[in-house]
Amino acid sequence: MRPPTIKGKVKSYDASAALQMPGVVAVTELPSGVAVTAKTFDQALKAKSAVHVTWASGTVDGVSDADIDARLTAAIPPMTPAPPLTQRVDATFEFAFVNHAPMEVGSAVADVQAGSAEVWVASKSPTGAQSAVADAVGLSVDEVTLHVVRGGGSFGRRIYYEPAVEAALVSQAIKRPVKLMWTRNDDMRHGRVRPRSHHQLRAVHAAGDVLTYEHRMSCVELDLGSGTGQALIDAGYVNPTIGTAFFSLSQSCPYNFGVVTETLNEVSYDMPTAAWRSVYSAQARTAEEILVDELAKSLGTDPVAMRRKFLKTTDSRAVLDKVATEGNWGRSMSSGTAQGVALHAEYRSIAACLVEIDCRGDKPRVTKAVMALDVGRQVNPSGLRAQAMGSLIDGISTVLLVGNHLDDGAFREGSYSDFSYARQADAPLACDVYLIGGTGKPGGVGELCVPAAAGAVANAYARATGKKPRTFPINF
Amino acid sequence: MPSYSFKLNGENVHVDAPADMPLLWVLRDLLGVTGPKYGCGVGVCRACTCHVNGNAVQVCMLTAADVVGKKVTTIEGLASQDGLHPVQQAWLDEDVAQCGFCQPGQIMQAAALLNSKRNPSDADIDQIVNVCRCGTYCRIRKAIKSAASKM
Repeated sequence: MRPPTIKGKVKSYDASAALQMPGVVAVTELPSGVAVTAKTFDQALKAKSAVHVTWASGTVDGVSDADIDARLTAAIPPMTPAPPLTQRVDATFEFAFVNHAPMEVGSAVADVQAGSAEVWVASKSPTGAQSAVADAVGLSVDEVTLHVVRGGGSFGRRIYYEPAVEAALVSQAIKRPVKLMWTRNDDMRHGRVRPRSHHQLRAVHAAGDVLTYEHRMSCVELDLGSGTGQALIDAGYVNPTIGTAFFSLSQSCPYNFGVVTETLNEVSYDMPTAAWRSVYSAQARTAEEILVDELAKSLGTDPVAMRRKFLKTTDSRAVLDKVATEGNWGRSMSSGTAQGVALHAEYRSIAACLVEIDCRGDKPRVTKAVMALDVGRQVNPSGLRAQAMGSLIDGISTVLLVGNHLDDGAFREGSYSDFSYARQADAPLACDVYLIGGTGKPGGVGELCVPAAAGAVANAYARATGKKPRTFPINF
Repeated sequence: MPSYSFKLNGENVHVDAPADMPLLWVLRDLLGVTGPKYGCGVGVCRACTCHVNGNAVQVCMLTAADVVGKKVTTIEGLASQDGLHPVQQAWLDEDVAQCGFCQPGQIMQAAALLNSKRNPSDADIDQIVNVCRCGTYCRIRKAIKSAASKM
């Protein structure tokens, strides 16, 4: 049993009825709720419904998206005024919370005995999990043996390891080995999310040149206290938040846009967040790629020609040119359909994406995608293409389809019925991924393509509908 | 506790199970057949898709009573003695799986589609609503078409 609102606490509970139910072994109070152990998962689920819990309030009771939006707006500093005799392009963007929604829910196996513990868990930060289990059950780290097992794709979620700690606590309490699983509802309502974010952007241009480019981002504070975040803490990056340090290290503008200012202000809420594929870039660079299209319009330039002119490196230009050529950029298309393009460079790699969208039906459909990557040395070409295709689906989902509403301290969505992540009918009928370059050190690709894909989808939507997309997902 | 008999992957099985236990947990927790995955428990993610008498079903929405006397096939029973099912082979050829968690359900759904339509159209393939959080949809489409051409 988990609380009705985020991080609610158990005040008291009555498990007498649940303990009489078939297969039930034990009922255990945890910091996060009440765990029911039974011989099968189904018996545990049914007995869970029979536990009567009185809950104390959670950490964000009374807070909804609108309340967060007010603080996020206030956290954005005033934009620099444009000088005389220049033109400016302004845009404001909002991105919803997004659960990682891994198909495999949180899970772990633990066997805690006097003086030792053994844990099996799919973890991206096993040493962190080992320490957390040791702390929770009062053992030293050396007394905890942690087996890293294969896990379902989690896109950032399994940087954290709550199920391992919960399984260890239950095992210690009932003196048995325990397999602990979250339900889908648990994962959707108490799992971690990509933080809700706001973005204010301004580009100032004169005589065909971009003089200044300013991006002020604010978001709910991202919990980076595990994995990369811990490495930054260890390296001394702590002020004002770990997130701002991560942001300043990860963000860079691939275009010659004069004086570039990119800042992040985080707003603190005690709620479960975690890095989501591409971390800040998933929103920040998507917003920037949309602005680039709007800047192109203001300059009277085509979006590809605009990018070609201002990109800093020939490698970036080559990646862009590849999608423009292979995707037949600029081809004549019917009203209500359009192409869109975007580019992203990070992790010593470059990706560009060109999509075609059809906005004539009930909901927009990306019908075709062409992607190009330069990731340096290519070790596993099929795997590289797979990462690009998966990121494309993340881009389609987060721009068009899916997010989480916060209503009075609780997330509204509960499963894949209302968390409408892309299905086959939302995926393009054709997706071609071209690998170019291929020399030099291998760069990263797992998170590379989300901003390029998301930006291309948003830009195609704008060109097909004539609307300026401002809040994401568009169908929320 | 009631007892149920059905054919599971070609073998007759008898299982004592609570009458209201979803077939997913009968298979996973009582019979040790873990190909069908739990992703939602309410029939929307479809990671538990199996065949009953050749038709795709979500076993989280059935009970053992629903399959008494019927043929239940999970991913474990899809291949024949002669080798992999053409859909499985196409999945390998197209390198579809990423994390793999939803793939048993995806493959069973695709195999059932090809049972009913030898050459499914893009619109037919679009009817598949199994969630793949890794986003392997484009390769799933290619693999289904590739399998169709070889069946």
